[in-house]
Amino acid sequence: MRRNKVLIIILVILLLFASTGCQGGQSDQGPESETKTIMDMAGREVEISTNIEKVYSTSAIGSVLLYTLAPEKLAGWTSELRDSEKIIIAPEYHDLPSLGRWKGSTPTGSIEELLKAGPDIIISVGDVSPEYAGDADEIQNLTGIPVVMVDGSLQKTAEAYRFLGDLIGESERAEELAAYSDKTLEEISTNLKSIGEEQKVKVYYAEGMEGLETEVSGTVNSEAFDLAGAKNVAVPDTPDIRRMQVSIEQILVWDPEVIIISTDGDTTHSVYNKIKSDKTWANITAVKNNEVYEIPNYPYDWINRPPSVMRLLGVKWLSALLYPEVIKTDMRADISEFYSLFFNYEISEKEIEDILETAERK
Amino acid sequence: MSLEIRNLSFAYKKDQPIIEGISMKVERGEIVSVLGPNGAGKTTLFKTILGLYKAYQGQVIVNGKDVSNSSRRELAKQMGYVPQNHAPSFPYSVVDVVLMGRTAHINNYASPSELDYRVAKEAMENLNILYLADKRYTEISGGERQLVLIARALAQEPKILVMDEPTSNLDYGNQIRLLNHIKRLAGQGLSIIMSTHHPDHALFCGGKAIMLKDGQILCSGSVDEVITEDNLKNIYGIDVEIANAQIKNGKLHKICIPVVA
Amino acid sequence: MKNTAFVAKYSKLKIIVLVLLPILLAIVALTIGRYPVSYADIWKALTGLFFAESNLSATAHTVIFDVRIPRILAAIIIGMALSVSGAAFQGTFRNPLVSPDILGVSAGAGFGATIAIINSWGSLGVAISAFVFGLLAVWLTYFIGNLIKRSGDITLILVLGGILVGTIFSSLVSLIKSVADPYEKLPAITYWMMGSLGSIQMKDIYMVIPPMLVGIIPLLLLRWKLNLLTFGDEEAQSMGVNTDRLRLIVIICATLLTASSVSISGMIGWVGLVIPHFARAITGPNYRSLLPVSMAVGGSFLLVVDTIARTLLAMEIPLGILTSLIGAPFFIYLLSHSRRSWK
Repeated sequence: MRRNKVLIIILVILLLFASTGCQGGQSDQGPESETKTIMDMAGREVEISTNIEKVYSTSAIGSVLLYTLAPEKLAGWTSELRDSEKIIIAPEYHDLPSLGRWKGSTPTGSIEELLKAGPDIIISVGDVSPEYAGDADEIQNLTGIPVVMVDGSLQKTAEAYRFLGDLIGESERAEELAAYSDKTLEEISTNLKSIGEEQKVKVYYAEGMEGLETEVSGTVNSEAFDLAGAKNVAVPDTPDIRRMQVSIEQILVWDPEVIIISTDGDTTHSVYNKIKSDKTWANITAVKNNEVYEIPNYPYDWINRPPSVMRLLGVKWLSALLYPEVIKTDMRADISEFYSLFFNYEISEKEIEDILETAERK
Repeated sequence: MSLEIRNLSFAYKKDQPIIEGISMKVERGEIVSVLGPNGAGKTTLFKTILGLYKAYQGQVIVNGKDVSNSSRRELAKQMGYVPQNHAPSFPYSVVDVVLMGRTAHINNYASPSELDYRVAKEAMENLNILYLADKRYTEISGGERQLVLIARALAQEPKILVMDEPTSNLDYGNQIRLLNHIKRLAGQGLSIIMSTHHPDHALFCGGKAIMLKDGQILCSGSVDEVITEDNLKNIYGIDVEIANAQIKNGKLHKICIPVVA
Repeated sequence: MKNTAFVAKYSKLKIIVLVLLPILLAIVALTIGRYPVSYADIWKALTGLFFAESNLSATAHTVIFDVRIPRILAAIIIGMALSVSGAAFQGTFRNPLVSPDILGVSAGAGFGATIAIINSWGSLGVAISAFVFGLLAVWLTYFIGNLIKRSGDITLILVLGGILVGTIFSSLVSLIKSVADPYEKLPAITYWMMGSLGSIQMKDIYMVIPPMLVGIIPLLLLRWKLNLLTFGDEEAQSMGVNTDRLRLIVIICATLLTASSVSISGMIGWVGLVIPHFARAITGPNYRSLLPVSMAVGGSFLLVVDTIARTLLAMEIPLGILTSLIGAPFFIYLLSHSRRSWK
């Protein structure tokens, strides 16, 4: 009896070794023989091939970053492209496979499909805290594909472009985009210096179907507000909160001067119309002064969700909206330039007017 | 008042009848004891008589009227049912349980009235259980619960009482007290059909008896005709002797004694 | 007469307390909130209803009449509806552990809401879709139940059918969630599932009042007969109850109550399960008093919990989470202290 038990334990241990051995073997067996060890933006050491042809991103944030940098190296999208994406994204990339999100504890994609697409590396763009580093390690162990973490914060956009450009051999293009990023953010922050803490405009960021959800200040999801010099009224009163529901009473207490609405891709302006017409919102300063705007979402939200490089344009738009006297810029020209530079897309005047319809002071 | 059952048959599956071709007649104030081994179909017979199971053939006739199409309410005013001891789900007070027997007399959207309380009280007095009124039904003894169920059926003011093994789960004293109640109720004019596993109980109650075997009537008639050594051997497969015992006041009592092999 | 049972059981004091409880709590709740409104303002607002011309600030007026009053009313109404529906189902299914969504109404409503959110149908669309799919789920359960009815106890079959339909709908929700846009739709679905009264307005209340009345009035009228269902179909039938018809009425009414609640508040768990137990501990299991007491207690309970949800922090604490957090330990307390009240 006892001997049997010992045998079983030994077998189990052997099997465990065998299975991990297999995984290790898989990554060793890659066709590329030359590898190098790099340090990613979370400080993890990752061994990657010197010649990277295909890259997959675990989330849409990275897909946008990658598409703007080197679309031909994209191994796939995280989800089927929406109609608005199909307008901006070049047609040859419409049919890339949809491989799912690989963030958090429940990946939505299939490992086999991912392996079939055969990326040389996977990038995880976003938070680079140890908690997320653990997720990255897990995906790396699961797939046998090296996972490289890239800081997704808006302020580090330039750094992210340069890092990724070096990694995949696209330094020149990366430098171009990084320079734009640096220039944009620097200009805005310089111009905003004249705005004291007390002069900052109180902004409420309305999300959700009723506009009663918001993001607290100080997270990657509300970073654009902070960089645009807005005073986000939602300050967390418990730690570890990002998105939260709030009551209309709380918004009345905050009494924001400007309300910025996330449309969540809803083109019917339902939250916008509700806030402007509903009597519970009517006594808020922002509503009384007609300072209610929708965040442009074309093909991605300019401010958040996904918190992508679109936010460079979003911060410019928001800061110009909040502080027209110090941020003097031609928004229409900025939009043209951004879509052309980042997406290689020549945006029409009609599209710009549509984008700005509810995003401009009339 | 009379209850007549003609050729009653019930089956879950058409070709496998649980009871078949049952006929019997019960007069006012009469007690009919139904005997039979486990699985003979006693409970099924009762439920079919009560209309809880739909007979595929035969009729139940109350006062000359076929009741197979009567509403639940009409049926309930004719026949009361005392089920085998059951597991109650909620801790109703005893008086509430007895009051539920009044439902057939209460308007669809109403609650019990003063009159209903009075009838319920009388039913409990009849069985000497008024003292239980405020107790929780879930916390009284099995014997008390059986009496409460009978009181509930009495509050229904039926003409016929159908009792499924009323003495099961009772101690010896409670069994005899219950049988005395049953005899007294019959004396008050109620017709009673009850099932029992004790031939002695049928003998004690007197009246008629029916023996069921495999869903069919083996024999029926007065208890003296039915409770015989041969019949008991036939349905239970054991040897018994029916003896006449003389008790102190000189009366003779029939009793049933199993023969030691 | 010695037995108190035959004297009028329901002391007047108890009735007055139960009627006044939600009203008093509502008045207290009216004075509490994130936005500071003084007692004087509330007094002005209330008297302003009868005497014209009050110099109340516009914001205070909005907070009192358009924010707090609708929300307080909604909490009371939904608490009542869920509790009555839970109590009725517990009797019908002869099981004290049954909650109002036993037949799959919440899962169906969740699916309806998810579809509406995915398709951006707006808040009214979400409410209607949730309501319709909630009813549809229960209809499916009932349909399945009747399909296989002849092979046994109908209540058991309905419970099984409810589990089946509930599982199907919640799996569909999970499926949709897994492919939903993680940035735009997923949070909305998640928040809806957690339940909230944060966006209640008077028009929502007007919208659910008719189906709720249709649900609650028959249950109150038939509440005596509900008692008989707890003894099982055969006994109830032998006492003159058409159990099939009664059960159908109970299911329709309780479903209308739950579906209307869920449609405007999202999922609020535990109220329909715990409150009937609490009410039973107060007044006993007789539906004659149990239903009214459940209404009073349920309305008061949800009002208190929602007041906490909207005032404790700057963020809204999701109501469904709070009711579960408060309800579950409370339930354990009830079970351990009134064990003998049910087996």
